[in-house]
Parts: sequence; C-alpha cells; structure tokens
Amino acid sequence: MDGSDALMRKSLVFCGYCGFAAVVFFIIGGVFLGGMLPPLLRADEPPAEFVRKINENLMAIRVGSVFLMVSFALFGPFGAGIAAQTRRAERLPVFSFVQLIFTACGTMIALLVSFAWALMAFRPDVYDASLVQFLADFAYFLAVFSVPCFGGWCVMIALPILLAPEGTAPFPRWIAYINLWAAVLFAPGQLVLFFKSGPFSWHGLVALWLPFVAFFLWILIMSAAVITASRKPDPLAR
Amino acid sequence: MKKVLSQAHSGLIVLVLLVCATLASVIVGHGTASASISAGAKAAVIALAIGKVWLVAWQFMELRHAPRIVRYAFDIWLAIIAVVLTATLTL
Amino acid sequence: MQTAGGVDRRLPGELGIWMFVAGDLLVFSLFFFVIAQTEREHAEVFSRSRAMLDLWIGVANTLLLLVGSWFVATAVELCRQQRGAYAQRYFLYAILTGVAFVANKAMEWGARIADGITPMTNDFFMLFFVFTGIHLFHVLLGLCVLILIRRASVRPQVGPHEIRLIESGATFWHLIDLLWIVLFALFYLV
Repeated sequence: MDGSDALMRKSLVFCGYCGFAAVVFFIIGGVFLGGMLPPLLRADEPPAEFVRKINENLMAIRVGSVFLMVSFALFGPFGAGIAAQTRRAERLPVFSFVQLIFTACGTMIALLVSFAWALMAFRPDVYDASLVQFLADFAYFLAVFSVPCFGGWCVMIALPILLAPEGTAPFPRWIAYINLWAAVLFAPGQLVLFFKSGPFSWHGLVALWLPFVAFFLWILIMSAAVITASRKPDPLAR
Repeated sequence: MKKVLSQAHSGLIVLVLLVCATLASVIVGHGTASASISAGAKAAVIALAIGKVWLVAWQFMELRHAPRIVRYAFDIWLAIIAVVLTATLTL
Repeated sequence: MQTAGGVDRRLPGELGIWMFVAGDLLVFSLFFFVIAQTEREHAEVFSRSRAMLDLWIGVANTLLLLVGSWFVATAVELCRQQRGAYAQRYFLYAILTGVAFVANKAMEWGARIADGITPMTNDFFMLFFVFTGIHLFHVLLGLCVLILIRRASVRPQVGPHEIRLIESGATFWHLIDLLWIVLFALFYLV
C-alpha cells in the first residue's frame, strides 16, 4: 500500500466517524437538552403554551441548539465520504455528483433546523407568541417535510450499488436496500402539512418518530459502511 | 416439467385456501353501523388474517425453503402481531 | 439454481431484499398497532365510519392481490425452469391484477371524496386514507418492479443474475399482498 492509499483510507475513516459524531451530538442536543425528540412541544397546542414550555427550558434549549448545529454540520463530511466511496466505482461520477448536491442541500436544511430552534429560545417573551410557534413549526417542517431531498439522497446511494456490474459495487448490495428502505421511511414526514394532531402531525409517531429514528439509524449504518469500505481495494481495480 | 406442475399445483391449493379464508372472514366480520361485531368474531377475523399472512409467506415468499432462523423469526413476529392485535381489539 | 424440493435451505432473491422486507414488516407492525389502538379508543366512530366503506371493493382488491401473488409465484417457478416465454405471460397477468387494484382503489377514494369524506373527516378516515395511501405507494413501486423483472425474464439467457433479480422483485410483490391482508382485516372487517 503506497502513501496515497493510506491517505485515502484515513480520509474515509474520518468521514465515517463524522457520521457517528453527528448522531452523538444530535442525541445530546436534540434528545437530552433541546427537546426536539421526544417532542417537548405539540403541534395542536396554543401559542401561549409554546412560550411557557420554552421559558421553562430556556437554557437547555439554547445549549441544545449549539450541539444541534455541530451535529448537522457534520452531515457534510459524512455525505462526502459516501460520495467519495461511490466515486471509486464510477468511471463517470454522475451518481456521486448528485449525491454531493443532495448532501449540500440536506446539510443546509438541517442547519436551518438548528437556526430556527435557537431563535425560538432567543427571546420568546419579546417575540409574538405565534411567531415562537412559527419557529417551532418551521424547525419541524425543515426536518421532516424535506423528504425528496433526504430520500433522494438515499436513492442516489442505492442506484450506483444496484446498477454496478457484478463485483464492482462500491458497497455491499444489501446497503442499497437499506437505503431504499430509509427513503420509504422518510416519506410519511410529508404528512405534517395536513394534520395538526394525531400520529401524522409533527409531534406524532408516524410523521416524526419514524423518519427521525430511521434517519439516525441510516447514518449509523452508512458510517460503518464507509469505514468498512475504506479497507477494501478499489472496486474498479481488477 | 413435472416439478413445475407440482409447484403450480401446491400454489393453486394455497390460493384456493386464501380465497376461502377471505370469504370466511367477510362472513364472520361483516359488522353494521348499528351493531358492531362481537369480540369473538373480531378474534376470528384477526386469526383468519394471520393465517392468510402465514400462508402467503410460507408458499409464495418461499419461507418453506428458508433457513430455520428466518422462519422462526417470522413466526415469532407473526405471533406477537396476533397477540397484540387481538388483545387491543377485544380486551 | 436451487429449486423447490431441494435439500439446501435458502431464501429466494438476495439478502438485501429480505432486510427491506423485515424493515417494512416492522414499520407496518407499528401502523397496525396505531389502527388497533385508535379503534379501541374510538370504537363508535370506527364502526360508524366502517359502514360507509364499500366492503366488496375491499374484498375485490384482496382477491386481486392474492391471485396476482399466485401468478408471480408461478412465473418465478417457470423462470427457474428456463421457460421465460410462459413466465412473461404470467408476469403480465400479475401486472394486470396490480393495475386493476390501483383502478379499484382510485374509484373507491373518488367515491368517498364525492360523498364529502376526506382524511380530515374523523380519526378512522385519517388512518384509512393515509395507511391505504402508503400501501398504494408500495403497489405503484411494485408495478414498476414487476415490469422490470418481466423484462429480465425474456432475456435470451436467464442466468443466476436474472433469477436473483426476478426472485427479489417477486418477494417485494408478495410483501405488498401480505401487508394488504392485514390492512383489509383492520379497516373493512374488525
């Protein structure tokens, strides 16, 4: 193994660990501190209730938002690692390019989630209560209503694996099916526009929990897959 | 050739069973607006549905040739679904 | 290729499709539970709303998918025996049952909406439209998959690669049938 191969390995491993770190930071910022999951707020509550709950957890939400910002920024290197690995199996790296576009869009959308979350806890008493409610709505809409972007990202990872000739796939073939499955699970997120209560609202089991849990499980699986792939020789070098 | 025929045969028998189970569940489970069906009938409808799911998996998805671990995992999943649905709907 | 009656134990298709199947089964388990739990809490709304559904459309759709599954299973067996010409005819029948399912569903939804019933009407119809909608999305995907594997079945040389693709696609179609069986019982019967 020459020097460039060693750097290649390390850079892919780095991207994989960025994925793991994104999950850890989300759990700290979104689950333990920020009240994003499980949802502190409910879509069917009056604006005053939003302000009351946010005031009660002001500091936790603020610190949580900082962690969320870090977590979501790490989507960048995570996505670049996957694209770099699919690039190794493509002569004309079209799917890798499309992946990078989705990675960039997804990272930007996710960063806006933490902007909205942080602003919500910036001065809830000065803002009109409905504006605070709007920021919470906006955060959840960014996170789960953005299905075509995140789902499209998954499909763009699955296609170069499924279409690759025998033995030249950049990842094991089952990874492609996991990606398709993840894309299907993100889909119910688009229901949040139509319901304000029940399982399909942005605090509900099907429209919030399902896409979120699927998304972070997907990051864990893909991070592990990138790290494993870094040890493999070039798919086309044979 | 013979194998194809026997395969299609057993598939056809399973299909007939599935159709009969569907019609049976319609007869048992046909509630009306005024009187919803009894707990026993609900349990029977769930049981018939579970039976149909098992048959589809066994014959069409070829779990009958699958490794044992997959078959056990599927059976355990189906048993959990059966118990949870029956308990939620009848108790 | 290992076929029926063999000693080796194997799953049809490739490993990945079975991971997809397992994942989808888990998610639909959650859906089934949500339906049952809501029915428990709003039994009155459920039995009143259920009477507004056309039971026989549901029965017809169940039978269509069951027969479609049988066509697909038979076609897969024919492919394994290298009889692609017959197989593709059975795949075509299966595709027709799927199209009929979609048309039937569209008529059913259209009739309900013409009656003034929407997902916003009550909890029953919210769950009914969304979960049968998610299932319909699976059916449409499944139809694309069937068209794909039908084309694979008429390639001049149906080798292990084609068989793997055909079996994987067929497994997905059976999954759709299997999920509908439970949805049908929960929405139309219980």
